[in-house]
Amino acid sequence: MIVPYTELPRAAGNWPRPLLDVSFGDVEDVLVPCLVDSGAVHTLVPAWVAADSGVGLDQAPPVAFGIGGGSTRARFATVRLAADRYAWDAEVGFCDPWPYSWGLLGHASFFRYFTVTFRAADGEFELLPIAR
Amino acid sequence: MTVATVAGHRYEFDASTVESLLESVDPEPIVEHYVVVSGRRFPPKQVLALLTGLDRADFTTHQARAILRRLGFGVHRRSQGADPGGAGAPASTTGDPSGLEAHAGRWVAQVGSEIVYAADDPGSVTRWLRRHGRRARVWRVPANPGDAGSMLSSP
Repeated sequence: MIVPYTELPRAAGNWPRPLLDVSFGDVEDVLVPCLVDSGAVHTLVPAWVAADSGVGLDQAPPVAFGIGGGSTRARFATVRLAADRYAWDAEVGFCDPWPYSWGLLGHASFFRYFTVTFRAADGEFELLPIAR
Repeated sequence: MTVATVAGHRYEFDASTVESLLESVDPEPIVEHYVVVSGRRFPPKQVLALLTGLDRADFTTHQARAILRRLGFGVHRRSQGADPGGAGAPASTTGDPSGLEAHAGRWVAQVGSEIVYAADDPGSVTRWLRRHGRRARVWRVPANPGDAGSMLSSP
């Protein structure tokens, strides 16, 4: 699966980013762009995604941590993620507040399932699922 | 003020009435033609049906376009390719191919390079998608380097 980088408005820095559209839970009509972030451990998205996807977080204790120069609280749950024809179950942290325009795909719940090749010069990245 | 006869009925329209009427109205998906009102795009027949209370089968797109043009609104056709935005999207004035510049800081539904809807919160966008049976990327278009996870901006 080859995905073009997403171009951004000039005010946001104008540098294209490797964003992957991911759906969460049983919701197929809402695709949440997530940064394929080799510097991230966890997969983190804004809390509205959990509410929209019907992911129950009542039993999940909040975990506080710093992000983007501020702080946030995440509640983690294991949910089904899907991107194009691939789907996998992974732990996701739903965060409030959330500073970014996209979610983050990290090692623990994304890179362990895919081999990712970045081709920044070509403005694209490639995903290959790891056989399990 | 514009006077027009539609389906045998005489109507008087003015642009400010149209603008205020549409303030709280969600645009429907654009099929081919659209009119830009207060920076948002609407199907012309949706607008004229709201203005007149008539059924959309009672008039043509051509009539709706002509009346709205006479009122001073821009009427366009998607296939002309000059317009990257979609329903509800303010007209792009920057010429950027994705049309994102005009939506910086707003929540949008994006299909391919097209913005099909824009709003101030994610719930409004997802509700619009479900009402119209659409599937799209939903995100807040970054308005500054911080939104994009960077403290640095390109020169």
